[in-house]
Amino acid sequence: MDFVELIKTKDAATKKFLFKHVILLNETNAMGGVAYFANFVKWQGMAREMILRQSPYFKELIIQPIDMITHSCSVKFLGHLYFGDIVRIEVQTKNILPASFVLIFHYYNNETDNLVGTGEQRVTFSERSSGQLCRMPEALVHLAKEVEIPEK
Amino acid sequence: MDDKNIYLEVVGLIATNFKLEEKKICSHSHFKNDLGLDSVDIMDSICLIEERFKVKILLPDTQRQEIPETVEGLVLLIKKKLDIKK
Repeated sequence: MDFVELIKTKDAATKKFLFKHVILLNETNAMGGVAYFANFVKWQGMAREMILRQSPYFKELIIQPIDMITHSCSVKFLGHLYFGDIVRIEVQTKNILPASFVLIFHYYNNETDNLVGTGEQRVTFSERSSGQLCRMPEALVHLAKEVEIPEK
Repeated sequence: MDDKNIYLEVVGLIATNFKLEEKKICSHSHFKNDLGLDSVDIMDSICLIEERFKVKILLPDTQRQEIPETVEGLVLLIKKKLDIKK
Protein backbone atom coordinates (compact mmCIF):
# COMPACT_ATOMS: atom_id res chain seq x y z
CA MET A 1 0.00 0.00 0.00
CA ASP A 2 1.23 3.49 -0.85
CA PHE A 3 2.14 5.77 1.97
CA VAL A 4 3.77 9.11 2.60
CA GLU A 5 5.73 10.50 5.53
CA LEU A 6 7.54 13.71 6.43
CA ILE A 7 11.19 13.28 7.40
CA LYS A 8 14.20 15.45 8.13
CA THR A 9 17.10 15.43 5.69
CA LYS A 10 20.55 14.30 6.79
CA ASP A 11 21.74 17.82 7.53
CA ALA A 12 18.39 18.56 9.24
CA ALA A 13 18.39 21.95 7.49
CA THR A 14 15.21 21.06 5.73
CA LYS A 15 12.61 18.34 5.49
CA LYS A 16 11.15 16.29 2.70
CA PHE A 17 8.18 14.08 2.06
CA LEU A 18 8.73 10.42 1.22
CA PHE A 19 6.23 8.62 -0.96
CA LYS A 20 6.62 4.88 -1.42
CA HIS A 21 4.84 2.86 -4.08
CA VAL A 22 5.01 -0.80 -5.11
CA ILE A 23 5.32 -1.13 -8.87
CA LEU A 24 2.55 -3.28 -10.25
CA LEU A 25 2.49 -5.31 -13.45
CA ASN A 26 0.11 -2.88 -15.12
CA GLU A 27 2.77 -0.17 -14.75
CA THR A 28 5.37 -2.05 -16.75
CA ASN A 29 5.87 -2.31 -20.50
CA ALA A 30 5.67 -5.36 -22.72
CA MET A 31 9.43 -5.60 -23.18
CA GLY A 32 10.50 -7.17 -19.93
CA GLY A 33 8.72 -5.72 -16.98
CA VAL A 34 10.41 -2.32 -16.94
CA ALA A 35 8.29 0.45 -15.45
CA TYR A 36 6.78 2.42 -18.35
CA PHE A 37 8.08 5.99 -18.56
CA ALA A 38 4.67 7.67 -18.30
CA ASN A 39 4.28 6.24 -14.80
CA PHE A 40 7.08 8.47 -13.56
CA VAL A 41 4.75 11.39 -14.25
CA LYS A 42 1.75 9.54 -12.81
CA TRP A 43 3.69 8.92 -9.59
CA GLN A 44 4.39 12.65 -9.27
CA GLY A 45 0.63 13.15 -9.22
CA MET A 46 0.12 10.30 -6.75
CA ALA A 47 2.84 11.61 -4.46
CA ARG A 48 1.45 15.13 -4.29
CA GLU A 49 -2.08 13.84 -3.73
CA MET A 50 -0.93 11.59 -0.91
CA ILE A 51 0.96 14.50 0.64
CA LEU A 52 -2.21 16.58 0.54
CA ARG A 53 -4.35 13.68 1.76
CA GLN A 54 -2.20 13.09 4.82
CA SER A 55 -1.65 16.74 5.69
CA PRO A 56 -3.58 18.41 8.51
CA TYR A 57 -4.85 20.91 5.92
CA PHE A 58 -6.56 18.34 3.69
CA LYS A 59 -10.17 19.03 4.69
CA GLU A 60 -9.59 22.77 4.66
CA LEU A 61 -8.09 22.61 1.18
CA ILE A 62 -10.66 20.45 -0.57
CA ILE A 63 -13.60 22.65 0.35
CA GLN A 64 -12.02 25.74 -1.17
CA PRO A 65 -13.37 26.69 -4.61
CA ILE A 66 -9.86 26.73 -6.01
CA ASP A 67 -8.30 24.35 -8.50
CA MET A 68 -4.66 23.37 -8.56
CA ILE A 69 -3.24 23.48 -12.09
CA THR A 70 -0.08 21.73 -13.22
CA HIS A 71 1.68 24.45 -15.18
CA SER A 72 4.57 22.25 -16.33
CA CYS A 73 6.28 19.01 -15.38
CA SER A 74 9.35 17.06 -16.37
CA VAL A 75 11.07 13.76 -15.69
CA LYS A 76 14.65 12.70 -16.27
CA PHE A 77 15.25 8.96 -16.58
CA LEU A 78 18.33 7.62 -14.78
CA GLY A 79 17.63 3.93 -14.29
CA HIS A 80 15.11 1.12 -14.61
CA LEU A 81 12.51 -0.03 -12.14
CA TYR A 82 10.76 -3.38 -12.40
CA PHE A 83 7.57 -5.13 -11.35
CA GLY A 84 7.63 -5.60 -7.58
CA ASP A 85 10.19 -2.88 -6.90
CA ILE A 86 9.32 -0.18 -4.40
CA VAL A 87 9.92 3.28 -5.77
CA ARG A 88 10.70 5.85 -3.09
CA ILE A 89 9.99 9.38 -4.21
CA GLU A 90 11.43 12.20 -2.16
CA VAL A 91 9.53 15.44 -2.57
CA GLN A 92 10.67 18.96 -1.76
CA THR A 93 9.68 22.43 -2.95
CA LYS A 94 11.34 25.59 -4.22
CA ASN A 95 10.40 28.96 -5.76
CA ILE A 96 7.39 29.41 -3.49
CA LEU A 97 5.67 32.51 -4.83
CA PRO A 98 2.20 33.88 -4.04
CA ALA A 99 0.49 32.08 -6.92
CA SER A 100 2.78 29.17 -7.75
CA PHE A 101 5.51 26.88 -6.48
CA VAL A 102 7.78 24.15 -7.78
CA LEU A 103 7.81 20.55 -6.56
CA ILE A 104 11.10 18.66 -6.85
CA PHE A 105 11.05 14.85 -7.12
CA HIS A 106 13.88 12.36 -6.63
CA TYR A 107 13.00 8.76 -7.49
CA TYR A 108 14.95 5.96 -5.76
CA ASN A 109 14.83 2.20 -5.91
CA ASN A 110 14.00 1.74 -2.25
CA GLU A 111 15.95 -1.51 -1.93
CA THR A 112 19.19 -0.48 -3.64
CA ASP A 113 18.97 3.25 -2.87
CA ASN A 114 19.91 3.97 -6.49
CA LEU A 115 18.63 7.25 -7.88
CA VAL A 116 16.53 6.20 -10.87
CA GLY A 117 15.00 9.51 -11.87
CA THR A 118 14.47 13.15 -11.11
CA GLY A 119 11.64 15.47 -11.96
CA GLU A 120 9.94 18.69 -11.20
CA GLN A 121 6.63 20.38 -11.70
CA ARG A 122 5.32 23.90 -11.23
CA VAL A 123 1.79 24.24 -9.96
CA THR A 124 -0.49 27.24 -9.88
CA PHE A 125 -4.08 27.95 -8.86
CA SER A 126 -7.32 29.21 -10.37
CA GLU A 127 -10.72 30.19 -9.08
CA ARG A 128 -13.21 27.45 -9.91
CA SER A 129 -16.01 29.89 -10.76
CA SER A 130 -14.12 32.10 -13.19
CA GLY A 131 -11.06 30.09 -14.17
CA GLN A 132 -8.92 33.14 -13.31
CA LEU A 133 -5.50 32.56 -11.82
CA CYS A 134 -5.45 33.33 -8.11
CA ARG A 135 -3.27 33.20 -5.00
CA MET A 136 -2.20 29.91 -3.48
CA PRO A 137 -4.36 28.88 -0.50
CA GLU A 138 -2.66 29.83 2.77
CA ALA A 139 -2.74 26.24 4.06
CA LEU A 140 -0.82 25.07 1.02
CA VAL A 141 1.80 27.78 1.55
CA HIS A 142 2.43 26.31 5.02
CA LEU A 143 2.63 22.79 3.63
CA ALA A 144 5.00 23.79 0.80
CA LYS A 145 7.26 25.75 3.17
CA GLU A 146 7.69 22.69 5.41
CA VAL A 147 9.82 21.06 2.74
CA GLU A 148 11.27 24.09 0.95
CA ILE A 149 14.85 23.74 -0.26
CA PRO A 150 16.82 26.71 1.10
CA GLU A 151 18.25 29.04 -1.54
CA LYS A 152 22.03 28.77 -1.80
CA MET B 1 6.75 57.39 -3.72
CA ASP B 2 7.62 58.77 -7.17
CA ASP B 3 7.52 56.98 -10.52
CA LYS B 4 11.27 56.37 -10.55
CA ASN B 5 11.31 54.63 -7.19
CA ILE B 6 8.27 52.57 -8.11
CA TYR B 7 9.98 51.62 -11.36
CA LEU B 8 13.18 50.55 -9.56
CA GLU B 9 11.21 48.47 -7.07
CA VAL B 10 9.24 46.76 -9.84
CA VAL B 11 12.36 45.99 -11.86
CA GLY B 12 14.16 44.63 -8.79
CA LEU B 13 11.23 42.48 -7.82
CA ILE B 14 10.81 40.98 -11.30
CA ALA B 15 14.54 40.44 -11.76
CA THR B 16 14.94 38.71 -8.40
CA ASN B 17 11.96 36.41 -8.61
CA PHE B 18 12.32 35.39 -12.24
CA LYS B 19 16.11 35.33 -12.39
CA LEU B 20 16.42 38.08 -14.98
CA GLU B 21 19.19 40.64 -15.31
CA GLU B 22 17.99 44.06 -14.19
CA LYS B 23 19.84 45.74 -17.03
CA LYS B 24 17.75 43.78 -19.55
CA ILE B 25 14.54 45.25 -18.15
CA CYS B 26 13.41 48.69 -19.26
CA SER B 27 10.22 50.68 -18.91
CA HIS B 28 8.96 49.54 -22.32
CA SER B 29 9.67 45.86 -21.65
CA HIS B 30 6.67 43.72 -22.53
CA PHE B 31 6.22 41.02 -19.88
CA LYS B 32 5.58 38.19 -22.34
CA ASN B 33 7.37 39.25 -25.52
CA ASP B 34 10.50 40.84 -24.04
CA LEU B 35 10.93 39.25 -20.62
CA GLY B 36 9.52 35.81 -21.45
CA LEU B 37 7.10 35.83 -18.53
CA ASP B 38 3.94 33.77 -18.87
CA SER B 39 0.54 34.36 -17.29
CA VAL B 40 1.54 32.56 -14.07
CA ASP B 41 4.73 34.62 -13.75
CA ILE B 42 2.68 37.77 -14.26
CA MET B 43 0.16 36.65 -11.65
CA ASP B 44 3.00 36.01 -9.19
CA SER B 45 4.46 39.45 -9.97
CA ILE B 46 1.14 41.19 -9.38
CA CYS B 47 0.71 39.41 -6.04
CA LEU B 48 4.25 40.36 -4.98
CA ILE B 49 3.59 43.96 -5.97
CA GLU B 50 0.35 43.98 -3.97
CA GLU B 51 2.34 42.82 -0.94
CA ARG B 52 5.22 45.24 -1.50
CA PHE B 53 3.14 48.38 -2.13
CA LYS B 54 0.14 47.41 0.01
CA VAL B 55 -2.25 48.08 -2.85
CA LYS B 56 -5.05 45.98 -4.30
CA ILE B 57 -4.62 45.28 -8.00
CA LEU B 58 -6.51 42.01 -8.32
CA LEU B 59 -10.20 42.69 -7.88
CA PRO B 60 -12.99 40.12 -7.65
CA ASP B 61 -13.38 38.46 -11.03
CA THR B 62 -16.53 40.37 -11.96
CA GLN B 63 -14.57 43.61 -11.76
CA ARG B 64 -11.18 42.29 -12.71
CA GLN B 65 -9.29 44.86 -14.68
CA GLU B 66 -6.83 44.41 -17.47
CA ILE B 67 -3.38 43.59 -16.14
CA PRO B 68 -0.80 45.88 -17.78
CA GLU B 69 1.40 44.22 -20.38
CA THR B 70 4.49 46.37 -19.88
CA VAL B 71 6.66 47.49 -16.99
CA GLU B 72 5.64 51.09 -17.65
CA GLY B 73 1.96 50.19 -17.58
CA LEU B 74 2.41 48.44 -14.28
CA VAL B 75 4.33 51.36 -12.77
CA LEU B 76 1.55 53.75 -13.81
CA LEU B 77 -1.10 51.46 -12.33
CA ILE B 78 0.79 51.22 -9.00
CA LYS B 79 1.19 55.01 -8.95
CA LYS B 80 -2.55 55.43 -9.57
CA LYS B 81 -3.38 52.99 -6.76
CA LEU B 82 -0.99 54.72 -4.38
CA ASP B 83 -2.47 58.12 -5.24
CA ILE B 84 -5.97 56.82 -4.52
CA LYS B 85 -4.78 55.60 -1.11
CA LYS B 86 -3.51 59.08 -0.13
